[in-house]
Amino acid sequence: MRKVQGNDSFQRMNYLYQISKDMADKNPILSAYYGNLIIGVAKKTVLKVHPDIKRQLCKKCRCFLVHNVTANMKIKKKNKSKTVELQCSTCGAKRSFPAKTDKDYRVWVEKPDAVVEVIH
Amino acid sequence: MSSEETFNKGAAEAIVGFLNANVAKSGIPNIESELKKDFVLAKKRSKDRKKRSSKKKVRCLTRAEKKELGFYAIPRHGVQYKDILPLNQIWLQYISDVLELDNSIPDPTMKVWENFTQTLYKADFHGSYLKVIRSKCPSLVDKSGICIMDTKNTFKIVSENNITCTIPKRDCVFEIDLQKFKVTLFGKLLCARPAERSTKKLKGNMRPDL
Repeated sequence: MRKVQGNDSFQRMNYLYQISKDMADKNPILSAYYGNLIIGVAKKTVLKVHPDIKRQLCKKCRCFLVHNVTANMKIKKKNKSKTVELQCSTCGAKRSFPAKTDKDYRVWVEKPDAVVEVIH
Repeated sequence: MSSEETFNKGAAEAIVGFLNANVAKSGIPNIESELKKDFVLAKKRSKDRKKRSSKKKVRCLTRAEKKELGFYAIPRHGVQYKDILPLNQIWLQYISDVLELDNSIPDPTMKVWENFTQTLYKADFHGSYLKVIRSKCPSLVDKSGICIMDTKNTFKIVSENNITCTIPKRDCVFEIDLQKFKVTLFGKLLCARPAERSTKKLKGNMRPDL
């Protein structure tokens, strides 16, 4: 079995992501603390956080964003194209994502041809 | 913006009128060209700067803002034990994944042992059920609970009766119950920030003082 470089850090980030999601509705401050740790571990070990995880964290306080629990979701029109806006209820920061139906907004890591090999 | 422009226009016309009235007749045709002169070293405001300032960037919270939101002070009765119980279940799954407990548990004499301790040191302790078995401070002995916060020198744990308390790492010895066996941790070796610990290397054969 081949080993992945930095596997224990990836596992740790995965675990922190899970508990951050779990604590989101009970204690948003602890959720932000774990979210902060995800970024901290990634910074220290020079690994990349998967964009899917990154998008679910508030950019300012790193709290986990769940609609109607820790964030408010709105659909807005910006320059004739629709965007989804999430406002964090802990710190009030806003994040917006483009949501055009006819355009592909995935980054390269998320596309199927980016996957070369799957190691279990 | 528009009011400022109109004001400037009125002032400019007034100045031109004043010059036309007072300058000697020979100088009148030169007034327009003289007014349009640029001074090379004069302070000028560029238009780009105004555009830049209008852009707002999301910044991380500062320490003062974090303190205001209550990131550092977790109240004594603020966290319920039953809320964080699922955390412990996820943690047990995670730790058995990381240490590969399904295969075999290495002995201290085996070669794999060093690898095993290294991964345990790098693992995360949020959500583990900690019990203090020895300490310099007698009132801390036998305290147990689920760890919710891990700082450089302390663990914050929530016990079964919903009380959050802070335990210093340095002078305590902790015990973790993993279903198959028990692990004894010397808090002295864990004195590092949780994010930094994943890159730090543990020194081999450190002798704990009695």
